[in-house]
Amino acid sequence: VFCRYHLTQLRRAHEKFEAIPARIVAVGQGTPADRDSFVEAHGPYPFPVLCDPDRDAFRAYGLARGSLYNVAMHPNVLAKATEAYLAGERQGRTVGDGMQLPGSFVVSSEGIVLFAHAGKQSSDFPSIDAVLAAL
Amino acid sequence: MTDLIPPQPGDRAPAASALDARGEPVALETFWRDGPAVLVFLRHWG
Repeated sequence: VFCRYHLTQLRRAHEKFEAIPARIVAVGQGTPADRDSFVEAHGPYPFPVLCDPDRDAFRAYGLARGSLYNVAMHPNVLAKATEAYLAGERQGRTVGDGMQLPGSFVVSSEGIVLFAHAGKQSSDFPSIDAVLAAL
Repeated sequence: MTDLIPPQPGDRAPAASALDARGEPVALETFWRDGPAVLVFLRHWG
């Protein structure tokens, strides 16, 4: 549910990124078919949504697997789940490694990392404002 | 947990690729070649 909630937030803020201009690219687990059915159900999104079935890109960016506590039971996870549900988001089918943690990075046109946020829990995404401030 | 270390501000973005809408691998650096980009890794499609 946190993935689709964050994608919804990015979609809403898309014009702010476009004004900079900065691109958004999302990478998820699973196969192209998994991605396609998700985008069909919840999209479209005004940015590319890629998939990484072997999680090679996740590993290249140092994104770890979490514990069951950090994925499903941490107070931050429960609070964010409540927030997402109240915003109308619902949990879908889990695809890929359920213990994989998320992450967000801002990269300059020179290929230098300007902002890095490796999620400590499954719900741990940076605020849109924090990402915008890095650009 | 593993000892994976995410890149920090000031580091060069790691080279990696992911599958595009056609299922073809695309280098992530393609997305910041012409300007900054926000790269978001999602856990799954749930």
